[in-house]
Amino acid sequence: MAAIVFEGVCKSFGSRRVLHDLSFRVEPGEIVGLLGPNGSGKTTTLRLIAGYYQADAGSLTIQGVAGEGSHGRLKRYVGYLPERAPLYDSLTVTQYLHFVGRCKGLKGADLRASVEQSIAAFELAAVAKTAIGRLSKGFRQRVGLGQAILGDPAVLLLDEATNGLDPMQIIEARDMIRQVAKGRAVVFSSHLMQEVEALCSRAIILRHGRLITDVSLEPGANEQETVILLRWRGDSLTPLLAALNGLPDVSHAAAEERSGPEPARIIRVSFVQAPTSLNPLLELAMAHGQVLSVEQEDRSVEAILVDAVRRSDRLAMESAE
Amino acid sequence: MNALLAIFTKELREYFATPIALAVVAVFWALCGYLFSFHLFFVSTAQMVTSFHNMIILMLLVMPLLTMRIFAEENKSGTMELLLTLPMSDYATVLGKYLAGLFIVCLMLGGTATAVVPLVIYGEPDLGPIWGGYVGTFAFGAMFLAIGLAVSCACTNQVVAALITWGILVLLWFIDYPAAFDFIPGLSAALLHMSLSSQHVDLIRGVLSGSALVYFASVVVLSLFVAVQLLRLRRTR
Repeated sequence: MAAIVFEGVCKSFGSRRVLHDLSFRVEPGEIVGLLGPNGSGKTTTLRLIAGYYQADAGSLTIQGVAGEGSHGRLKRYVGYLPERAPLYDSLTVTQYLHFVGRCKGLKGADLRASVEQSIAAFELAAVAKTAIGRLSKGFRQRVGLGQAILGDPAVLLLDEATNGLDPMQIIEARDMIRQVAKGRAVVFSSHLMQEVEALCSRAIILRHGRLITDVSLEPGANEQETVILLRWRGDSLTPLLAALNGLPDVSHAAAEERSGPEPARIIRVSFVQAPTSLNPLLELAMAHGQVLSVEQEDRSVEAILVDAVRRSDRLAMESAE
Repeated sequence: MNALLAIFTKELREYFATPIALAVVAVFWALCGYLFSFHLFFVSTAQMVTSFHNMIILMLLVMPLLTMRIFAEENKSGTMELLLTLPMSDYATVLGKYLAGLFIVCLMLGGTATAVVPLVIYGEPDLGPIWGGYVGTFAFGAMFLAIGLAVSCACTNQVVAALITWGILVLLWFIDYPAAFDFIPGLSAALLHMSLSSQHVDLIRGVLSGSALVYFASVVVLSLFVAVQLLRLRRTR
């Protein structure tokens, strides 16, 4: 059973539509990075799952329970850390965690156990009796994470959870998130590509409220597909592409759209696994024209994001024309 | 119920973590004490009717300062987002906050009960109207609180919330002015019934009419209902 099923969800604020027919699934145990430029709909998506907003259309299912209204039943499955970790400065850490725990329906021994577990998981014992207003940014973030796991939710939503932290705090927070993510479905929104690369098993990239890429970041997933970018000049592009697509281990070869007046074309050749030699490819390319350069495509999350966003923008421009 | 109690406790902690609630209660007690003493020693009248009148006027002035932060602070600091994503009903959120506010109102009125002590020691007051007067004054406080809470729910700025609450309370106090011209007889009667200034005349004397209590209860329920609807509106806006 999928932890989160988002099906054709649309959301508008006034006349401005911020999510268009968004669909995706998150399985238990997955840490999914929600990526995209500012205004792409990341926070709105998290707020919809958390029950802060209601969708205008589409359906949301969490742990097999379909959502309606303000997701009264669904909220029990969700732990949410909003952006900038809003907290009550006048409460101590323990008072705050008890407050959130009680709001989540915990009582007595269960409440105490859950708060203690949270304090232990995020190493908050030293500041447990300190007013939140006196905590450093790193500790505030930990308190925010601590409240999110109270009640052992099956789904964790973390909006920019490591934003504004110094490098050491980021490393600590990353380790803690990894620890508490075990067995849970985690959706992690961030602008920090290295964070997504280090933490997530999958990345969903949004642009203008639409899902433009859903890519696995599991170790080995990107190594499986190797993409060679060939800068090539010549007149017989179609026969070259046909020949390249006929090579063993080549899953797909296609020329990118011409950008500007440059006569050279970029040909993307995808291999199902890393090729042992590029000689057959180069021989074919040179037989049909002139090879100007050869390089392996960068498959980092940053490159995937940039590539997906540019592709989406180009398609949008073409459809507008 | 668990969530409602959690909100209630959290609100009380927040009230006393900042000096605002303490200052409001202290100023209220000090001014009530001053006005009671003035009447006792300079006007030579020892009765609670004037005190109840003074308490209601003082509450009209200070309650917006108490209610302005209830939701406006949560809206501004972003904690509202977390609050609305916790698995509890919007009614629990609003009622928890309202009950915490009522506790402060009780504290304010409870402190003024010290004025009754010399009346009992040196005179033979009829305690019935005094109890009635306290119930009436509490009804005013509960109503001011509910209106302030609903206004705060719609605001991000606390000062704006306080100003709007003052505006509404003062308007309700003087809403019967047009009734003097009696343009539309039915409307004049309604305005007179809605007017806090006309309602308070009986209530401070301990005369609790059913229609007055129904009016106060209706305003409280309507205000809390509006607050809940404002919370829901955020989700669908």
